[in-house]
Amino acid sequence: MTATTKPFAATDPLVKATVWGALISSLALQALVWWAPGGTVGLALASIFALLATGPGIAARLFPANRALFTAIFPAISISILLIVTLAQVLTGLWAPRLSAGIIGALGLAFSAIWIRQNMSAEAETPADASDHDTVATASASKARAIVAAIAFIPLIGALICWFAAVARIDLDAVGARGLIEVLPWQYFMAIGLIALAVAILLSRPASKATSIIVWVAGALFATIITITVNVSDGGAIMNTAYVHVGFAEAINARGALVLGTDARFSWPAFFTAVAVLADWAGEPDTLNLAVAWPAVLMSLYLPAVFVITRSITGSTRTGQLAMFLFVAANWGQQDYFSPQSIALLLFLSITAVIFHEMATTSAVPTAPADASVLAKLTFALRRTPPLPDGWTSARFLRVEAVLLLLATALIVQHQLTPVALILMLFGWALTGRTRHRWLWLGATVVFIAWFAFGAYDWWTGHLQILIDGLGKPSQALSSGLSSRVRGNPDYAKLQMLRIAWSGFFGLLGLLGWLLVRSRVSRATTAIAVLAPASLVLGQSYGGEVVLRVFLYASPILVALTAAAIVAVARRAKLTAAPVTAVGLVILLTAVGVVGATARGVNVAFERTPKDVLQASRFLLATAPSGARIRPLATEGALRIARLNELRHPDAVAVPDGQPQPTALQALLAQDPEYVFLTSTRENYEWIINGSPRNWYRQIAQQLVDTGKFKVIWSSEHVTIVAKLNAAGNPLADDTGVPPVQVPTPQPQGSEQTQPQAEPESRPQAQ
Amino acid sequence: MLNFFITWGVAILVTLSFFVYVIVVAAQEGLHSKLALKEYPKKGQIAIISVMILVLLAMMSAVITRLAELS
Repeated sequence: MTATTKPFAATDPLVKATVWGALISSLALQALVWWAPGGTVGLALASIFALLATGPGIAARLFPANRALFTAIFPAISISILLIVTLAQVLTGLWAPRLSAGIIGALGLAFSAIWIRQNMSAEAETPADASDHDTVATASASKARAIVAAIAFIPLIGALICWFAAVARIDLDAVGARGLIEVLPWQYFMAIGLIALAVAILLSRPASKATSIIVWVAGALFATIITITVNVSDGGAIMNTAYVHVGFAEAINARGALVLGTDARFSWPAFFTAVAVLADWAGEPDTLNLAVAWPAVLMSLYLPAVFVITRSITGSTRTGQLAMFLFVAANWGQQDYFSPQSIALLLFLSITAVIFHEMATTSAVPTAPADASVLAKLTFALRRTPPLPDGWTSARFLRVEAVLLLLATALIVQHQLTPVALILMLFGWALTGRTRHRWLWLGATVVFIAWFAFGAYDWWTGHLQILIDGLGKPSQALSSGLSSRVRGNPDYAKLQMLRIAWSGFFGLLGLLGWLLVRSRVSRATTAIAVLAPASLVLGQSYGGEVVLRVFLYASPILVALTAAAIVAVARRAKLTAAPVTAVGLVILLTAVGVVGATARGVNVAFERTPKDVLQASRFLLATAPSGARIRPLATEGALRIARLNELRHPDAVAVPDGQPQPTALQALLAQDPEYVFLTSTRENYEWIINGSPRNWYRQIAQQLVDTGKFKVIWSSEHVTIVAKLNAAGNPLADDTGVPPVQVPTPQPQGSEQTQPQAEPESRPQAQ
Repeated sequence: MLNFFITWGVAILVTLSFFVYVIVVAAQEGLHSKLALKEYPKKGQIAIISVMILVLLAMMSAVITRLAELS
């Protein structure tokens, strides 16, 4: 490969194009706010403009010639500014989404225009940092790579077609205790295989800028197939908590204020304020449609950071590209759904990627004398401040520090747990003298404490005991995170074991990679990046999820080391010939994709949200009077997309000592709900986890009607709504003495299975 | 009265800590000649780290005391 070394790096064409895109987005955003087209188009445009407007102008100033790092950080900067601006507005009582658009547009215009002006007048005056080593190839080599990229595109198009066919054929109602894998059609596996083929073609050749975009496209398609197949097939998002978040954003936009005292998540509200603004810009009443595509978009945004981290650890571009696919498959915990933690992970990854990049491009880091004692070495590390990354100036370093603090601040005001993992990691690196950002942990901690004391006041004052009780109980955290998940149906329990084993696979291969890899990024650095989040188990069980989160935060490092281990083992086994590498990659990536899809899809039977569930919930939300008791409002996210705090879950009824436990029907009647919302997905949960009979909910609906006090008011494929009758024999909403709340009433879409039932005789038939 | 002092105490400590952070980072990069640290200081940084940890511990205690009182 022919390459030349340049003292000054020319601005990357993609960076230039993106900054121009930022300039246009900043202006187009104002037009969008005026237009407010609504629907998916409006939400998509609002999201694109928000992602593009402010970040590129800043990121281009920091990393003008490093395409990967620029791509890793500019979405995080844009999102951080949006989070902070909208949060500041709601906290100061100046809630006005149009004002937010004006501020974001003005900032984006300023950042991009300044950068364009400077770079138009002084082209290529940016000192190159050490990883701006994307080589300048000869013309013939460039042409050959372009041909390879074009060839690799063909299987990717085939994969997309196969995936569409799979989505059209998949029968999600047939998903049972074995999860998604048992209903996936062959087209799905073909799609994964074709992506693996495209990646094999690309990675079996020397890396280049021409192919890097295609690899990212392949990664984004891989992420789409793994993360949102169920969403697209159903027309509704998996993880019904996403809909609770939709409801929070709707409540903020409707009130122009936070709804304190309702939910702990309002103490970290920046995500909700930001998406509320997006919905307003789009002219859409809520963010429901964002939730469907969200996991694929977020996972695609994570990939550049994962690539940078891996390239920094291993020094290899192709190993970095391999790690992107491993990352998609490894994260079965689905924390990329429409939630604050999905954005938190993006910010966490971006900060980590920048610091890893700096470490990998810093030469001549002083080390303690080899014959020094352990204490002397530790003291030396504690005192050490690494020099600036190669080619950097102090001014550039300070700009990066400021941007990292901005990202950390945005992270702190929108999620509870992720900032703790970040601060621990930064502190570990500072103590061991691994990063020049020796004080970033302090800056982040100050912001964290300020928010903890004043911003999150509402939650901490009411939950201090829970916080204190959880300290120093790692066994409790591990038990709730691991062993308690392996339960229920035997097939389901086996698949839960598969999930744990899949994480263990990355842990073991990561350990092997850690032992084998030699690079500028020391072993201590990578060890700290894994151990810092792992130490969270000492603090909290986090509702039984801390183990999942630990794996999530450690996963970028684990997949980097796993990729390094795979490459190292292949080299040692002399499996380096191009055809062998290509075949090996196809087998490896197909297997990884299938196992990843299996692990991610274990809970599909009860985590999915079929479209008629959303339609039924809109119907009920449009008709139920304020204060109505709806069971199960607490666990059915689709019922919480609007009217926050207006409806309620019925209170639990205590059974006196010595009395026999009531049946499910007796307990339900004792709670005296006005509406009972029975879904096939929750029924699947009861069947798979608690061993209840199948079709149990249909029986419950029938039994309620047979009491003569209830009537079926909605029956569709996945939902039955039963309403309590008043003295006149009418459902509550039909009682003229109780006028329904005026909520926009979407009409149920006209599928044959989805019709509000006006008469009791049209009640569902037990299957 | 205690609540008042704790609230303002925390606010002042947080603000001061943030300024300390800014000054120390600026000093590290040589932007302030009088405070400029050498590339590999031997005692200065350790002393500052120790002081900052103590300050942070004090802040944490103040916050927890305040919250315990209110909850």
